[in-house]
Amino acid sequence: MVMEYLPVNTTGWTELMRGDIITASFIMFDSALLGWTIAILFFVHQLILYMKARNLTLNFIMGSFFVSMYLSAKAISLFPVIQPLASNVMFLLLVLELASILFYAFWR
Amino acid sequence: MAKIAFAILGMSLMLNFATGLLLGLVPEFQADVTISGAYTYDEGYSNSFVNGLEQEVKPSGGAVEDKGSALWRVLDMINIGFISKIFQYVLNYLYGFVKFIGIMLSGLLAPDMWRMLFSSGTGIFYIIMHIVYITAGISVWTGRDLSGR
Repeated sequence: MVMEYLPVNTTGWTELMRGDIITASFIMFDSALLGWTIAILFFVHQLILYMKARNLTLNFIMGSFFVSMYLSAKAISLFPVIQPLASNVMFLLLVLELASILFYAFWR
Repeated sequence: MAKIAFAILGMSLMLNFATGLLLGLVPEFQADVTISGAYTYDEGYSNSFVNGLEQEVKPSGGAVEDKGSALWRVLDMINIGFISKIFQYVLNYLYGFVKFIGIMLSGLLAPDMWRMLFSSGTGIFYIIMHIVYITAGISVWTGRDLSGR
């Protein structure tokens, strides 16, 4: 990709020059993963939580906190590179979790 | 097989319920048009009917001679809409699972691939579900499981 087509501040140099190293590294990874970082983090978070606790309700509640925080941050545009489909994918996973909980609660 | 069919029916009902609950639970999802727009209630329930007919729904006959005949035409239209809507509800509950996955993957798949998998009634997933329901129906009707187990 030619450099001038990228939006401003996708490399994280601005933050790095300010000394804000966590934001700088996040922006660098987010640009490299084309904005999927949050969705990948969400999947890893849900997977680790499920492997540890084996509790789908806990997974769903923690996942909805995660997504609420992500979407609030997205609304104030904290993330320079955002994949529009990331929230769809997270929505899909949360709906499947809630549907499984309800299925086992009411149908089985 | 009948057990699988009823499990899929239950999962489809619960997916409908869960989608509504989650849209209420995380208010930011409602602002996302790609998510909330796909699930707007009753948004195009007449589309399948009108597209299948390939013309607009019009009352039969020519000019309205008297008020009585106008009344009968209105009643006809109401009945057609009612039958069509009931049919759509049944389809939503029987194939809601496939429909849901189709809506969610519509942004991720190429249009041709999406049409092959999820086009209403003739997509591969719909055909698999037809086979599941037919097999389950036969096993409920005859008491014999066709899958041999």
